[in-house]
Amino acid sequence: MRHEQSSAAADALSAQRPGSSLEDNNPLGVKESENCISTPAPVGTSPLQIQATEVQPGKSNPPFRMFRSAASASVRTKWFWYSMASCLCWTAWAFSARLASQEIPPATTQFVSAFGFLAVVVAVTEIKQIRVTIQGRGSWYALIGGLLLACGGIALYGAYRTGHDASVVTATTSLYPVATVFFAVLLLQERPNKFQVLGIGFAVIAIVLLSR
Amino acid sequence: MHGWLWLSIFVLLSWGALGVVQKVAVTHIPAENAFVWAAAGFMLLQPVLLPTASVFSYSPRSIAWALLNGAANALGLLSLLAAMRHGGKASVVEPLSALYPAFVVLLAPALLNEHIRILNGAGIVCALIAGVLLAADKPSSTD
Repeated sequence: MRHEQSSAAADALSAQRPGSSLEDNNPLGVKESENCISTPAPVGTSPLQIQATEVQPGKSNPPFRMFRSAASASVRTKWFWYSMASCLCWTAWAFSARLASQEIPPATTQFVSAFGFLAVVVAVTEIKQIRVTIQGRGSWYALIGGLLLACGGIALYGAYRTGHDASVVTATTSLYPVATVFFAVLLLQERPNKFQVLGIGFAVIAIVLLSR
Repeated sequence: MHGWLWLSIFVLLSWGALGVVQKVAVTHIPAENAFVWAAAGFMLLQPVLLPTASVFSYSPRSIAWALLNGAANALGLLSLLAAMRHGGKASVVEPLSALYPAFVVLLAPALLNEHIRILNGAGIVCALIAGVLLAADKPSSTD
């Protein structure tokens, strides 16, 4: 609650001072990305005038127009298409996991698949000519990320091994993006816009329905 | 509380925190470097998974699928890191990439001769709506 209040106050300040940042309020020192979709009102416009402008009947719906312009801007960004590529790679991951686990136990599949993982790492290192050096905090965070990935995987196998209903375990654990959103808002000061908040809600419903 | 629930909560927290840690990492270093370090962290726990029986006792076909599984996982992770490096928010990129079960359910009838259930169909519709809504973001200056 305290964080929300300070974040809201900082938002108000940054709205008044163009170009101001929230770095002082950011415990991990991450630059805040541009999260707000808003059109600046003309100087001297009162809040009532703004409201009246937004709800004029007979004109195109401002929220829809805002959404359309934001969505069309997103599909021109690299991050959106990398996210889609990630989604497709994990589709292939899910299929190959199912086909491999028909014969091989899950933990052994994970063990063997790590070598496939390693092969891609070697290929990327060669192609991109990456010199692996310790580059400050970034390297450590990435290393911790790899550890978290492995720890989560091992805990998942542990949950399956308890013999509890696999569909319940899958549905529960597949909600991890909710935890990411929570941590990102809390630690990175990210502020998903109202469409994205709605999208996160739909994503959660989709994940639960698809894991059934 | 049941053991499965504790373990599931641990999975939720570790994979949930993973998205944030990845975002912080790519803020400081390029996605490819973060990828190599993440792989190093991932491999550190390999001894825990060391199988008791020889992996060569399984059919080459299954081994190949398992290796492909690892390669697809690596490429997925690399793409995710690149998405974050190019300005994608962790709170948006993570849920967007987690919608892959929609593709799995859509392709399963053709590839695995499985049927789409009504619940899964509703899930696909929700995933499509989520994907469109999550895409409503302004391009960042790094893109």
